[in-house]
Amino acid sequence: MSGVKIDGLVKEFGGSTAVEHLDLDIVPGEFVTLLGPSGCGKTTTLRCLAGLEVPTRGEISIADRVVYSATSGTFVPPDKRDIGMVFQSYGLWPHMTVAGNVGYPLKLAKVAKPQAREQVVDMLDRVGLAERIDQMATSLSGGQQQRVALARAMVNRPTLMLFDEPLSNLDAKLRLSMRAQIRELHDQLGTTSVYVTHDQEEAIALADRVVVMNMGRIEQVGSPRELYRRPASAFVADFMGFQNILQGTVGDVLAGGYVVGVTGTNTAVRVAGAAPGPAGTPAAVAFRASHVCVNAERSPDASTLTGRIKASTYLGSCMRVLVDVGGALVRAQVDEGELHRFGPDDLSPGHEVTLSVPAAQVVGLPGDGPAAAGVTAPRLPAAVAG
Amino acid sequence: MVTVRRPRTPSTGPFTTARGLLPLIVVSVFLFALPIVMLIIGAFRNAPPGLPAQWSLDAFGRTYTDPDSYTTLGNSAMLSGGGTILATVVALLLAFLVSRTNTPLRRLVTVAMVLVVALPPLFYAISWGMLGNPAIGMLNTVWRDLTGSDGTLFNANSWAGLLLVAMVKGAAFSYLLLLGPFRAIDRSLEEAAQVSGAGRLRTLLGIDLVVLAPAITGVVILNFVIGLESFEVPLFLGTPAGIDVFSTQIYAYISDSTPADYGSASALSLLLVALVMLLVLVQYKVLGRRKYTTVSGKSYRTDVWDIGAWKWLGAAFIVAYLLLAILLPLLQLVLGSLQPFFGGAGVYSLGNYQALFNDPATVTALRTTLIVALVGGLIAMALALLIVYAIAHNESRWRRVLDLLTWLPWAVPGVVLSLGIAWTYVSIPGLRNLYGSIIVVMTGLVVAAIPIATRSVQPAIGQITRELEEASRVSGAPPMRMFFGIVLPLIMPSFLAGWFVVAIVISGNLAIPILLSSAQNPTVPLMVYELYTQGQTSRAAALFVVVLGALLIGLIVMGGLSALLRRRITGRPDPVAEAATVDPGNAPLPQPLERTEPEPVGSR
Repeated sequence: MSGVKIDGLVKEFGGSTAVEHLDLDIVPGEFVTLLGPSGCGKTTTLRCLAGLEVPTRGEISIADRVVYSATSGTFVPPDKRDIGMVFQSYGLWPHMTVAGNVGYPLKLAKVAKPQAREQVVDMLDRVGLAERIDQMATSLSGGQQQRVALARAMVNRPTLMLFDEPLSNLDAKLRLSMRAQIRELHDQLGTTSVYVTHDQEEAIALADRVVVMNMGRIEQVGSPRELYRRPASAFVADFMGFQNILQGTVGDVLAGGYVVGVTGTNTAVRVAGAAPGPAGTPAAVAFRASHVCVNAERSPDASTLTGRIKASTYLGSCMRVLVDVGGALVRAQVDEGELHRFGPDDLSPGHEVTLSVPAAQVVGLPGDGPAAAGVTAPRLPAAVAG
Repeated sequence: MVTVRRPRTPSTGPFTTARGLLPLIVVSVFLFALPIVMLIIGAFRNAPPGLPAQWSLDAFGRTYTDPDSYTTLGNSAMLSGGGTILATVVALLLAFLVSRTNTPLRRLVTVAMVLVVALPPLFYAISWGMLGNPAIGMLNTVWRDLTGSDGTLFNANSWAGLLLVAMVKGAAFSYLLLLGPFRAIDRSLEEAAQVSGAGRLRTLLGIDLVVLAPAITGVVILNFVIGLESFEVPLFLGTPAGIDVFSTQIYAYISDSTPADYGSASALSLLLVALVMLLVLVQYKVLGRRKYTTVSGKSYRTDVWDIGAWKWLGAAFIVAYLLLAILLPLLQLVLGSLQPFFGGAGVYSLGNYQALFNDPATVTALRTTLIVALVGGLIAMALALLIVYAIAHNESRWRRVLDLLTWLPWAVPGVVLSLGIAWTYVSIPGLRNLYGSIIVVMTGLVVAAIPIATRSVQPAIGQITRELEEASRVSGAPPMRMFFGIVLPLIMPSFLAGWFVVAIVISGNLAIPILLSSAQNPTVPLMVYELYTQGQTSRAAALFVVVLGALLIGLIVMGGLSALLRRRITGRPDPVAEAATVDPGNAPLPQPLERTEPEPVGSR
């Protein structure tokens, strides 16, 4: 039994390829998010699942039923796929009431009226809008409209739920509560869900499994924790919020770890784990600003880095500092609670500091070579705050 | 044995594939392209439609060497050019007065302009023909009473009359096209000029007019095309004065020569079509792609310029326009219809109306016209809806073909279209039996109304976001169910409004029935024309007043209906319903359907 099986999916638009040979298996009841920047093919993949786009090649099955196959010429139209979908801008029909919108799938499925009404009321109860049942759908607020859209998508208990960035039109506070509601409904009703987003926090909070996509391909699939702690490529690390990604080559290989020499500098970073190859192999390291320990005293040591502060930004909860370490830019963070350890000027631009990064917190990545400079190049100091 | 079958491209919805578009393309080719093809073939044949003929260039030789043809060309250019210049100047002045100054009465203008655009050209032809009748027209009789002279103030059957009516009608829709851009001028451009030391007038001439240049150019070309295509007004006012333009000359080749000279009419038609297509092409090339970036649309501050005592002059100008465009023609038409015979001053009675309603032929014509307007209007709207929807949803290259086909009726004047349809129905054996029937007339009227119909559904279709349709498909609705359950209800207000407008246009159209109607089934415009040319002017006026009365009733019903619909659709202002109101204010030009904005309906 499988929830969704995508096999060699290719979608071309004119001359350009939006999705390039994508394989993905989703177990029933699983909540999977497709995460990536705009134009990475995540929405196209979702629309192929819905039947709103006809793929160019490959095969898709939903609940063990082939809904698209290039070889056999099968194409099941969206209305026959037994799916529910929540759209970015709600997609509520302005000429119908809330009940009319939510009840529409049941009407099409020819569910008897009293029973349909019961289901509509039940669904609206679950999203907390039962008292709005007879209002016109578009007279509600944005968050309420999206809850109506959610109720409509789930009312007929589809085997597969699709979400196309459903929260991106809502404000931050609403997003959090809606997020919880979506996951709760998924668990209550036991559907399989595929959720498209460009927001890594949302992806991590919602999903059982996150699929990171880039330029029509899957970069990495894993549990939220795996992705958050051990990204497999510089792209994923960047997308998962690793502020420091430095390209280099493998230096010394030690017991239980190795050293990566950062390209163009004499800075070396220690990494735990097995080296990707002998000394000289291209490699990269990634670590979070919050894992960098900043010290004002100079205590030169093999495990520390010494650098000069280029910029610092106070963010309230912490101080962000951008440090030039022998030509490599390293972003570090000092929590507000730690700031008392420093003198008034210790973190101003121009001051020297020592940084230490625990080897266990450094993620070793395959080196991309110079080609990936666009992704991993140090950002401009203006971006320090981010 | 294994057979390898190349699977057909599946479709995600109606009209998305080339295959789904095929029926519409076939229908469009038959309706829009075939008459022109038949016209071209006809121009190269040496016998009237339906008779055995040989290929020949006789008609071209005859027509293109006839000096009269070039007089006609000159007249057409003069009428279109003169009318365009006058209309544009008046429209600019009025748009300026309304949008930027404190002139009294300015709030009346837009409403009046919509009315002028909606009134059929036939209305202006007949009412101004009466008003400016040198012997008994109201203008001249009142002038004589006032001055005691026995001179003539104004003769409508003249160049002056032709240009005046062209100006009145052209100014109205030029105004509606220009008002939007005028209002949307980025005020910071003006303020920058004023800060730099330019006076108000200098800003107006140096900045505003320049910024509006693209919009004005578009309006000028459009006006010129409409001038070239106009038929009713030159027929009523020009023909008696011996002024022939293209459209009336084409008609004259058929009605005035025995036997009817179809060849010459066709040859001349081709010249006209070529001219119009050239202009449409120029308009598309010059303006189609350009965005009026200088008109930003964000700033709508209404700082009104106090023009001092000039405002009274402005008000006088508005009053004068309203008199010429609405009040005098209406008054003359109604008064004239109450006179037993036109010019019989003093005695007013309902005799003409009684006679009309006692005459079974008139009643039949009224019924025929009503049916043709409603049914033909519905067909035109339905076809336009399908075409616009298909072009918006198709993903194949064929949608360009369909888009191009819908341009043809726009570029083909009514008389030429009816000539082409005549060739089609007479020459093609299976269709010959239909010739002269009301079905053929209706076909012509539907085709003639297609440009207006497409432009009235287009904004509404454009307002429906794709998600609304996709949500319905995903909810389990098959394509047709989605179309009728979601798309149609959402665009219903603008569909009804468009239907009404198209019905008006059809019921006022003379160019199509004049060549295609048989004596057994005339429509009202044809009957009005016949009564008028037979000298029964007041009877013709009465018949037209009946038509206007019917329109008024229709308008009231429509207003009530759309108010009802709108209230049902949503509690708060709804984007779809808002767009549904045929709003000519923000319409630059007819453009390819894929990116057009609405054009004022009834502009032809």
